[in-house]
Amino acid sequence: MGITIQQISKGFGQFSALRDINLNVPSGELVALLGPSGCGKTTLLRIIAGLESPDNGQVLFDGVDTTHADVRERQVGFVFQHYALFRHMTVFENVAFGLRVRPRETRPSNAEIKKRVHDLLKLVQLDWLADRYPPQLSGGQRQRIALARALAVEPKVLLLDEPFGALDAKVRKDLRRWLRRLHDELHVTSVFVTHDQEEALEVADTIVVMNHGQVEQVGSPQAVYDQPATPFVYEFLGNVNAFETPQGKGFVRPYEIAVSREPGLNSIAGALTYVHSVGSLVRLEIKRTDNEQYVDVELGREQFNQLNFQQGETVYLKPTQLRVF
Amino acid sequence: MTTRKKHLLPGFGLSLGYTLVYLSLIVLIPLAAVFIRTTELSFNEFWAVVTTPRVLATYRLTFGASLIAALINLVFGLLTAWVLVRYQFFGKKILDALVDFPFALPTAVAGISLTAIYAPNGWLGHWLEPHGIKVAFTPLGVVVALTFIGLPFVVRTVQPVLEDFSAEAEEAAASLGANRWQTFYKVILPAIWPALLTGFSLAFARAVGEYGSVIFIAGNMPMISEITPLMIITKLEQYDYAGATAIAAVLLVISFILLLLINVLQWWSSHRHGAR
Repeated sequence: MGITIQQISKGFGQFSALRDINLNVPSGELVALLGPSGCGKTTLLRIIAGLESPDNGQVLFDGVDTTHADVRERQVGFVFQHYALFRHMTVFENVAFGLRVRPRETRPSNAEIKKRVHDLLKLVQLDWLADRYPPQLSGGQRQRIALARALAVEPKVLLLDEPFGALDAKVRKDLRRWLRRLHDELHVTSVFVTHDQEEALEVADTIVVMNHGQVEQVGSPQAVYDQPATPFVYEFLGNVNAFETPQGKGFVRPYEIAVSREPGLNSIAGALTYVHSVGSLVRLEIKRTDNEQYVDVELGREQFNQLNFQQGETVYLKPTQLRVF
Repeated sequence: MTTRKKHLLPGFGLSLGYTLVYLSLIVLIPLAAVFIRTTELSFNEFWAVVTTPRVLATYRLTFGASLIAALINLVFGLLTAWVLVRYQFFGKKILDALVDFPFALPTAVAGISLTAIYAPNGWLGHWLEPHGIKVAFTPLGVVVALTFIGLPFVVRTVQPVLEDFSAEAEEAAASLGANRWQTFYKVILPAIWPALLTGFSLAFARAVGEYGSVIFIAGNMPMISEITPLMIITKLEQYDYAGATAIAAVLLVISFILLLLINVLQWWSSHRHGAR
C-alpha cells in the first residue's frame, strides 16, 4: 500500500516539530526517515501510524484520506524503539495478541491462531522461545518478537521507530541485514526511523533526510550520498571537508582529495599531523598551513604504501571533486 | 562440593539479626503476650467467651464491613490513582495531598465529623433520611468510616506502578487493534494487579483493626453495629483481661489467615506472569 503525505504540519506548544511535509512512499518500498534527534522523524512516523494527529495536512493510504482514522483502523504494524512487549504475557501470547482481540466474527479459531503464531515465530527464527516471558529475552530477541507481533495482524504498512537503536553494534548489524531480507520476502510497505546514516544507507530503498522539521532530500542511498541536495545532507551523510571558495562553501569527501609531495596549480599546503592505518583505508589528518584547519583524507592502503608518507611532513592537497553551495 | 552464594553487599548476618530482634520486640513479643494471657482460660472457657452470639455478630460486622470497604477502595482508589497519574488539571497537587488526609487525621476526629455529617440531622444525613437510607448508627455507617480510613492505601500503592507503566505498551495494544476496554483488562490491569492486591490487603487489615473512627458513627448497638475491637475494649473496661485477649487472639488468627491467603494469591499471580 502506498502512503502519501500532503502538507503535514505539527507543533508542540511553541515548538514546531514538522513544517509542511510532502512525501510519497510507493507501495512495497522500504523507506528510511533519517535525521538528527529532534528533527521530527519520529513525529512523522507516529502521524502515519495514527498515534499522533497533525495540525494541518493529510495522510493518504492508497489515495484514501486516513488523516483522522483511529490507529486501530489503519492496519499498521508499529514496532517501538523499546519493544513495548507485554511483559506479563508469554512470547506466544504477545504475538497472538492482535488476533485474540479481534471481534468474534473475524477472530481466527484457536488452532489457526496457534499455527499463525508459530509460523511467525519461525519467520523471526525464535520458535523455541514461545513459552518464555519478555524479561527473559535479550534485546535482539525482544525486537524480533516485537516485529513478529506487529506482523501477526497482517499490516498493510510496517512502521519501525529506531528499531535497532537500543542494541549493541554487532546485533544491530545482523538485525538490519535480516530486516532487509525479511522485507524482500514480504514486500510490505515499510517506513523506519533512524539517526544512523550507515543503517539507512545499507537497508533502505529510499532515504528521506530530515532536519528541523523539514525534508532536506529524498532519494536512493546512492543519490543522497553522491549528490547531496543541501550542505546539511552533505555533512550528515558521512565525513566531509568544507573549503571556502570564491563561489561559496565547497564540500569534499575525504576520498575525493589527491595528496602529493609536489605543489601543483591551486593546491593547498598542509602538515600531515596524524596517520590512522587500520583496515583497508588509511586516514590522514592534515593541518592546513594557511588557516590551520584540519582536513581529513582517505587513501587506499596500497596507494598509501606506495607514497609512504611520514607523520609531520608537508604535503599538497587538491580536491578531485568539489561541490559548491 | 557445595557452593556458597556470594552476596554483593556485606552484613547479611548482622542485618538479619537486627531485623529479627527488632521484629521480635515490636511485633512478636506483644502478640505472643496476647496468646499467653489467653492460656489463663481453659479451652472450654475460651470457646464460651469467643462464641457468644454477641461476639459472633461483631466478627461478622468487622470482617464483612472491612471486606466491603476494602473492595470499595479497590475500585475507587484505582480510579483516583488513574486520574492523578493520567491527567493534568487545576488543583491536582491539592487533590494529591488530600488523599493522605485520612492517614493524618486523628481517627476520633474523623469519626466525629463523619457522624455529624451522616446523622439524621447532618448535612448529608438529612438528604438521605427521607429516602430511607440510614447511615449513622447502622452497619452502613461502619462501612463508610472504614472506607474513609482505607482510601490512601490503594491510591498510594497503585500510583507509582501506574506512573512506571509505559504509554508505549498501550499504544502497542491499540496499534494491534485492541479497543480501550481490551487494552485495560488485558494489558494494564495485569501490570498493576499485584499493587492493587497489596493496597487491598493493607486497606482491609487497617479496617479490621480500626477503632477510633468507627465507634462514633456505629452507635454500638449489641448484635447490630458493634465491632470486635469495641468488644475487646468493653471487656478490658470490665477488667476481664483474659476474655479481652481471647477475642483479640481470634481476631489475630483470622486476620493472619486472610492476609496469608492474599499473599499467596499475590505470589501466585506474579509467578504466573513470569520471572520478574
